[in-house]
Amino acid sequence: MAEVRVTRHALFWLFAAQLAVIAPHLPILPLWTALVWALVALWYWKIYRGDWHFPGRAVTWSLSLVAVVGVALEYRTALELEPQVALLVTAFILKLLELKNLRDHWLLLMLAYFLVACSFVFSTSIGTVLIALGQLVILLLAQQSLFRPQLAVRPMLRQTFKVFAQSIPLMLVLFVVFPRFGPLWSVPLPGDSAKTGMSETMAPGDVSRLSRSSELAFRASFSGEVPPQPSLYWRGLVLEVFDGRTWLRDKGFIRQPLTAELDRAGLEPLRYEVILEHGVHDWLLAIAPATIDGRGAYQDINYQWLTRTALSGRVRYEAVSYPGAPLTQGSAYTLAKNLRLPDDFNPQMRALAASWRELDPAERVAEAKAFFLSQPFVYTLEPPKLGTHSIDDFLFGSRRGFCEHYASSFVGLMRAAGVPARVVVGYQGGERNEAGNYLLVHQSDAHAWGEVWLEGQGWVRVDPTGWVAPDRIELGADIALAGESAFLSDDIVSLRRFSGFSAIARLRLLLDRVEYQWVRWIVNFDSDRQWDILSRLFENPDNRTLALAVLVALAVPLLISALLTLSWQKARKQLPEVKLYQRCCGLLERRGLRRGAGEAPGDYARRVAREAPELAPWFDQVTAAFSRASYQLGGSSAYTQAIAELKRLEGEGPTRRRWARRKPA
Amino acid sequence: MLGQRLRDRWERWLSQRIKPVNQVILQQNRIFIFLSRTGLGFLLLLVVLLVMAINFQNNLIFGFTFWLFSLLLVVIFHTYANFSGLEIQAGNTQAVFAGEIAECSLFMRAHQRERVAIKIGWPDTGLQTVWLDRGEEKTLSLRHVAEQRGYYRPPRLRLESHYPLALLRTWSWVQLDWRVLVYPAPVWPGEIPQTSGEHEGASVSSEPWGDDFAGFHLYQPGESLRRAYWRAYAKGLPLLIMEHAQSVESDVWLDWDALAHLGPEARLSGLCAWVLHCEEQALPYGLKLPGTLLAPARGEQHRAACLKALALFNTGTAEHG
Repeated sequence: MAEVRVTRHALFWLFAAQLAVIAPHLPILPLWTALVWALVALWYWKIYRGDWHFPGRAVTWSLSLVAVVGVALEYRTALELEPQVALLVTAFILKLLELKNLRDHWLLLMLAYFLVACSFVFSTSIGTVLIALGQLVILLLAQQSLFRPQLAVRPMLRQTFKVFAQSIPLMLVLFVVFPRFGPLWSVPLPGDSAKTGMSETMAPGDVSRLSRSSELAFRASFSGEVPPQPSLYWRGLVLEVFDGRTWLRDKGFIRQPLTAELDRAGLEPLRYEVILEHGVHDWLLAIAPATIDGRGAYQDINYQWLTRTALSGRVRYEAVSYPGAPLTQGSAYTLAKNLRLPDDFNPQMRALAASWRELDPAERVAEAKAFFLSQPFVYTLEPPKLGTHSIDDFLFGSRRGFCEHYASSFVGLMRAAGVPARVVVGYQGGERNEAGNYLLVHQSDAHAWGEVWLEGQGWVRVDPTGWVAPDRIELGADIALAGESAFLSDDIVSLRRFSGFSAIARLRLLLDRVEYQWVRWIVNFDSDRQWDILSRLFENPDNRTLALAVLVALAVPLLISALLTLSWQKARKQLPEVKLYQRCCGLLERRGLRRGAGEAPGDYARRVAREAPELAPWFDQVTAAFSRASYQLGGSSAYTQAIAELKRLEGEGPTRRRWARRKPA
Repeated sequence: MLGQRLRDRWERWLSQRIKPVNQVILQQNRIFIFLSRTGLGFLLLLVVLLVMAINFQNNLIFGFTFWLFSLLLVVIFHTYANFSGLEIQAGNTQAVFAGEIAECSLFMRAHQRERVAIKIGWPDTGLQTVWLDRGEEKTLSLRHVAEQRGYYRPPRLRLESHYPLALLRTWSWVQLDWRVLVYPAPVWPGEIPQTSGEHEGASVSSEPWGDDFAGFHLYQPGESLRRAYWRAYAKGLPLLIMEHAQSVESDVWLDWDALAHLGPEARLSGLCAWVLHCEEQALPYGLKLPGTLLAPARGEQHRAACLKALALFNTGTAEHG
């Protein structure tokens, strides 16, 4: 035990710091991490108490090996971020068993800071930041506790908040002025846990699953009016391959960029900014057809917006859409691909579609619409299970389904009828935050629809859900599905469930506005915004003014905190009794009795008695009170009494007394 | 080689800069601050975090990194404040014999603010940690081995603190104006030679018989018991001290020249041992050193004067002290 020199409370602070740092990571960690931490902390406590010994090297090595194997079994990959963080956390825990001196203690605390930073990779919400602030406070307290012989929370907290508050301005300046440039090398991104929302495949039930979630998918703010609900088709992925049950993306070969020119003649551009929620994004959402600049985004031949490398976090981009402009690119290969159907499935659907083959392609679409309208179709979140021939079962059996059922069967019908068609997934609609003038699109707005190729018009959007449930398109999912118990059922406490109560709805939208501004200005702060701010502050800044401004902006907060920390010293240097005594001496000085430099109070008092005997009684009292105050412990009652007396005597000093006497005269 | 020379120059520069003083208030001119080892680690951590922020294009990690960096900068002032205005004043010292541990007392006054975990001491003997409340004064006693006789000036004191976050180390060197009087280490050189031929040396016999036996006197508290007449005491008589003619009448001269066969330091050590011996024996003794003569006497003051003369012999600082 001789090696450990930290006090017991410092150790408890270390435990607290570990717990505070590990706990918020638990959602992405294997659950056994918490248990391991508790066991190891208990073990170390036993060691600290002297009950047990430090484990030998063999034990620590085998424990580390077990941990690595555990993490490997849990994640089955080491390339993603989660297993790496998990490994770091286990190292962070097991290091306790080697905590033998102060250096190890510091090492652990440094690791803790790193783990706090790691949590931002997985989430950038205000909540995460608040948690991180708490963690930071605990870490700073843990760091200070090593300097305290006993628990002293108050002074430690005071010190923490002092350095905390003083470092904020400097941090803000650095945040704004530090140049933002691209990644130095590519890094692993958070894996599946960060991927919520739209998947890249669509089987019956996939989109309706999303409707149970009240999570936000993205926000969009329009520079002009928000377009009406029915035109808000946020186009995401195009699913071209059907295996009889599931629609998939065509991953056959490298996606080709779009070559067709966008015919935007006479169309009003629709400008908006989209911020996708936290996660990993390799495709972007837009109202088709659109152009998106930056972020390494490009449009492929299917008019999907893809990114060259996956983006993580909350991705912001600006888009310009030309709703109504035709999507004209369709090669013979693409069209042939979009006619393919697996042979052995859905014979009834094929038979129905075959009867339309003679018609004009646009009329075949109209036939399909007539079919959907003539049958008793129900739009519901809880459709019955479908068999092998899922489209047949739906069209001719249950007739109850969600948008994916309608989109899937419609596209199936079209292909069977010889019209190139494909499924598009994305979001439809969105909730307006009127005060913030932006749109919130939730996972529950997820939607699937169809696109058919009509010669001369290109790819035309057809949404069979709109035929069956026009409310879904006109009013949005919130209203169309409000009666369904499964709607938003994943989030029982979600405020969105209470959108019927206007106060709660308003509160929710207010909170969202805060979050939205947070995301816009902090999380997605980039070189554009940086330039915005700088050019707003300085007109036409050149490099020299900028450099100078940055230097000043950095120096001023530092100077202020230096003054705050050190100037108190100047103000308090003078003890109150000295100050009062000197004031009394000042009164004598005005009468020509200047106290010599280094003249002891006793000597001075004697000289005063010689040269101005009439003042001697008063000044003797002053001297006596001063010496009493000087030899008392500051804060004791005798001290305060002496100070009070000095104050009284100062008030009764010679000059003032005369003044007081002259006044009535 | 070069390192040694640089270190010597540094030492010289330091000792020129840091003059011995009786009392000092730590100010910017003697407070040094630099990153501690933990601080260097912290800086490394910041670099890693910055790279992480750039690679993940994560503004929150940027913010976090900048905050930690700002903390590091702001902490400079707090580390400095922990030292600044701290008063240190040299206290008393006690004379010791060479090779013994000198105790130097020291006052520390916190004045305007609390002082946390300030380490103070000599690097070679280990630092002790001090906590002071606001306005508190503490008396410390520091120990250092005094190797040589003469006035021993303890080396520069080191003050060090890592408070509040251990990221920075602030330190200061203070040369306090302590002078520890160090007597020569007593080394028994052999019996004190008779200076006046007729008398035998101050041999001690346990019986009162003998030529120079001169009678008894009653034991006085504090007196040496070497000449106690135990036999009488055992029989129930009061404790008697034997008096010998020599010890009463003739003074012992402790003479530098009597130890001519030894080297100068050994002579001083021998004389020192004799002084202690005579004092213990309650024999009046005089001290003869080249250039110094202390007339025979006894008692604490005389002993101190003799030992001081021995301590300062030929050190160039003899008289003033």
